[in-house]
Amino acid sequence: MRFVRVLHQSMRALSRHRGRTLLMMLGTFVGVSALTVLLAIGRGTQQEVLRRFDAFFSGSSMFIRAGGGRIRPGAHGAPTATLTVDDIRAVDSAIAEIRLADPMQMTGEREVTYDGRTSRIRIEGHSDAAEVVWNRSVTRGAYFTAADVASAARVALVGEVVARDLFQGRDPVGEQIRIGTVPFQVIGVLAPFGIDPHGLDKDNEIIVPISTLLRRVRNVDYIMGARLLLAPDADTDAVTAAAGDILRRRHGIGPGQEDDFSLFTPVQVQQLVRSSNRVFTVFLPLIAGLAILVGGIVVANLMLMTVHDRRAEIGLRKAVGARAGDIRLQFLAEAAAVTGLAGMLALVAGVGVLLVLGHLRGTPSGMQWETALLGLGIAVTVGIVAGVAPARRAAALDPIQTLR
Amino acid sequence: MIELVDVHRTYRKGREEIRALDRVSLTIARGEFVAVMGPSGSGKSTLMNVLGLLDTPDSGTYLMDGSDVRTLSGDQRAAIRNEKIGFVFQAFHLLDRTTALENVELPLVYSERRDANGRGRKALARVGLGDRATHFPNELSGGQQQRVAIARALVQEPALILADEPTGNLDSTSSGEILEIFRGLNQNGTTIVVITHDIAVARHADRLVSIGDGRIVADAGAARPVEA
Repeated sequence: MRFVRVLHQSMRALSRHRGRTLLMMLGTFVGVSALTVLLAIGRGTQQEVLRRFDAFFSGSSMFIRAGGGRIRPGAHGAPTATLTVDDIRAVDSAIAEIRLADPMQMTGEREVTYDGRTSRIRIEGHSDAAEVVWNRSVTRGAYFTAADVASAARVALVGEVVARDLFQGRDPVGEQIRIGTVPFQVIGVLAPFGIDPHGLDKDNEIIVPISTLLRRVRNVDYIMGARLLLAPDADTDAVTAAAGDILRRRHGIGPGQEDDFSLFTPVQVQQLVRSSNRVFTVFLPLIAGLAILVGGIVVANLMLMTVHDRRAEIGLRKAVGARAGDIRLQFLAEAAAVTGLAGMLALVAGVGVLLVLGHLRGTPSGMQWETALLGLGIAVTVGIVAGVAPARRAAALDPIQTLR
Repeated sequence: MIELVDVHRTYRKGREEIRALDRVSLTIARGEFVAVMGPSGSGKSTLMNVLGLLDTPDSGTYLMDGSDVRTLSGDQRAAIRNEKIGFVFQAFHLLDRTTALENVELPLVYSERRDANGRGRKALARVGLGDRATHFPNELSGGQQQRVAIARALVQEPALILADEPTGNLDSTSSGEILEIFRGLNQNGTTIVVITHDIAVARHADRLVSIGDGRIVADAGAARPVEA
């Protein structure tokens, strides 16, 4: 078939001009491999974040947070000091669909001393309900009890990293530590959790009863928020409305006044996270797209050069019977083959990079067939687009002028 | 097989108008061996381009095998060049880094014929280069390169071979070989038109057409005695 024979001529021409072929491939290669890797890492990272979110916010639950508006600190960075443990109790007891409520407060890093060694560790205060509400128990020892919370007992649960670093392999359970100047007894080691969606290492923290944290560590009476665990069939919207009414009444907030608390459901939080990940799904691919564009311009320029350098060849082909369409097809095919081949190599290289990154650094990869085909499709499209002008110029060459 | 009647071809070079062909009428019968002679700028290259369907006359008629080529489309002219005409150029115009055989087979790429197998080797054998099929042009002498180019012109077994200064880049020994090949082809019935400004080359032809300022100034049926 003539079509196939002309395509074969394209391949022969590419192998005759190897240097230029490789140069043309390089541009596309860089762009497509960048796109593949960035898209895959972006998608993988997003999946990873959402997976962690699901682990963190599983079950039917909602959040009360001190401060109005969206997730941000109060004006001037000062914490909103109006939400209390009593507020949470009031909401909990008034709404039947709330199964459990865990009021919480935390500190920045505090000096924690054990056996003469000191580390700076974040301290969180929770109620005894946290074990169920956050679905996180202890691997050794025992969780603190309602009585511990009621009496503001000086007991502490330590994360795995704390157990390893501060206790250096010794069993922490039963040991005495000091948080600042206050002595605590370690009664349990927390189950491993990893990094939470805010980027905090939940294994490098200490949990104490909320009452103890407020009274003995921070000396405040307000909390930063609470997680509420709802009955499985609870109407989240109705609970949100009812909880809002109770809090507004208790805080004396009239109609039209701004709330000094916020209510979230996990769905809302998830949407927030999704949109904050645009950097991976929009911005990085955009950069890769620019790289591909530059690659396309390189290909187009080299193709124009090759047409100029091969004028005599083109004229000869026409003299021996090539139609304008045959010449056009040959040069289009040359451009498309170069970028297609470069695209395929780029995919192989991209997958290789992802495997190495995943192996060495645990970089998550969301490599999918669509991503690969997209990269390849873009590469070939770039080649065809970049090849159109040179191919037309070649087809329009006058053999009389070129065969002198 | 070729009939030109009152053919005009004018080029524009800047503001100047060049009459490359001026009322040229010429008939070439099948099986002739014609030399077209003239100084440079006389219009002989334009005549070859017109004869070879690479250029179209502004006016006049060009009948090839009885059909008017001015009415043909570009693709149709390409098909005629492919099947009926073989070109031989002064500069050979072989594709570099491409074997002799592949060069010879180039016209087959653009041909719809189905009996392409073996044609390339046969054509190479006819110019005495059957053993050079896998050589690259830069491994061949000038005379051998031109013979490869002639094999390329032969591969479709065309009725007409158009040669533009085919020996212009060759020494006298190679020139002689090339002209002998043309003579042999002509004896097998191929029509040959050689464009040259070299009288020694022209003497090999049976008929000498002289051209000057775009006009045919002499047409001698026998530039040298025709042997029976």
